[in-house]
Amino acid sequence: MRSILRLRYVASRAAMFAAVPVLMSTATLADSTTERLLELESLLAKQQAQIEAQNRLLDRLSKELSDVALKPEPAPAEIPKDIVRSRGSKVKASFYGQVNRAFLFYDDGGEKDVRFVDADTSSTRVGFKGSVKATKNTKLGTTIELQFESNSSGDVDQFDNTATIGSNSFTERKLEVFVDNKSMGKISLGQGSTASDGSSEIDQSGTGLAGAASAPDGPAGGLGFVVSGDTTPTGTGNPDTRIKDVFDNLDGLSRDDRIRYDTPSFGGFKLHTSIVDGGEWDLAASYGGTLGSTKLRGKLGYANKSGTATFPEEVLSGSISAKLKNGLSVTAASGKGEDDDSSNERSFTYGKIGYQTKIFSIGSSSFSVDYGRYDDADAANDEATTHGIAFVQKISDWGAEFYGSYRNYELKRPGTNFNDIDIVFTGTRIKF
Amino acid sequence: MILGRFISALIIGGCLLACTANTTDYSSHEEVSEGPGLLSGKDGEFVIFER
Repeated sequence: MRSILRLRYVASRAAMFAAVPVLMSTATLADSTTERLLELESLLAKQQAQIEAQNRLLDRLSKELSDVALKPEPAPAEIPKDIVRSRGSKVKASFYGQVNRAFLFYDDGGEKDVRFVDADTSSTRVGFKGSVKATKNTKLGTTIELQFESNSSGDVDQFDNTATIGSNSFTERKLEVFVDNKSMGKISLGQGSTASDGSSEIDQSGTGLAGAASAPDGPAGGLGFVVSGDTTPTGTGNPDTRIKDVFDNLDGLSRDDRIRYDTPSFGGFKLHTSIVDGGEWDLAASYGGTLGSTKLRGKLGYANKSGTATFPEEVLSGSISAKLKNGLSVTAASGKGEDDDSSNERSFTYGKIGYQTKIFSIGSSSFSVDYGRYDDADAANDEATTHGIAFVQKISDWGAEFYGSYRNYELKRPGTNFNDIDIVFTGTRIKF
Repeated sequence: MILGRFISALIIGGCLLACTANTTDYSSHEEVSEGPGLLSGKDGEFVIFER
């Protein structure tokens, strides 16, 4: 029993002594943990403060962003509806133009060359037109149209390859005012197309741009004929015998300073007359209509040049063009010029067969073959003939046309043996 | 004499064509073509103003 008590005593003492370091270390640990906890609490407090500060920053930025997003865009600067102020209602003013450039390859029997030209078949130009509807049936207007032909295909020749061929400047086409009444007709005053202008050139083939209806001088009018055996044309400055001297389609009085009157249309039929500065005058009749499914267009003109004593003093010329529903077209033109004071006469006859179809969806494709004979235009007993093929592809939405043609010019003159001239004329016209 | 021929042709042509009623417009290849332009679009011209 005593031993048991002793053991209990010893055990309790041992336990007491063993617990002392534990208690001591526990107290130390408690102090350390408390400090650590205090440090952690402090750190957490700091982090909490940082988080709250960041939240406040985020809230402020978010608010600013939402303010920017909700803020309406500033109104664009006001663009005036009219660049130019008009005088009132029922007025229209516009400008327009086109560029028409081409390559002209030629072989005149003496040499071959290529020239970069402005196509004289339809020159590069700009225009401005304006009109006002004065009454229900009456319109007043103006037209200013100027062309700029740099290296005109109607002027370039074998001698001249400088940068100043032809006028090399703006030249007049139309500078006119007009009054147009539905029941009384139209009066035009100024530089513009005379009544007989275009009498020889009605053409519905669609290839006039490349083939130049009855006016074969358009693509290469300045080139001169070379005598067989020579390498260059005869002449100084300009060739003596140019294509445009020999191939005259007697197309009325062209454009000039005139007063012109056009009747209203009577079933497609119109009469035209003009008096030109210098005393020239002309009369013309034109028709545009349909016979069944055939589109028919024609013009007949008489021009009197006695006022300026220009040979030939009297010219009668006409052309007619029929286009069938299937795209086939037939064109014919003829003219004669004579002079009461001399026995000289000149004449021409021309024919063209064309076909217009739509091979590509971009626009119509037009083809033609033609032949023309032109007599006595440059010298008595001259017999000049030409034949050619032409192609024009339209790109309708772009206002563009691409064209190409081949043409042969032949001149027979008693006593002189000229070489033929062959040309390939290809280019593009773009309306802007 | 050449004026006489013109008048004769005019009368004959006028009589032949007077029986038709449908008219069509015609634009020479020499003039600026009808229809859209590359830059001006479907108008074919730059309209400065129209009222």
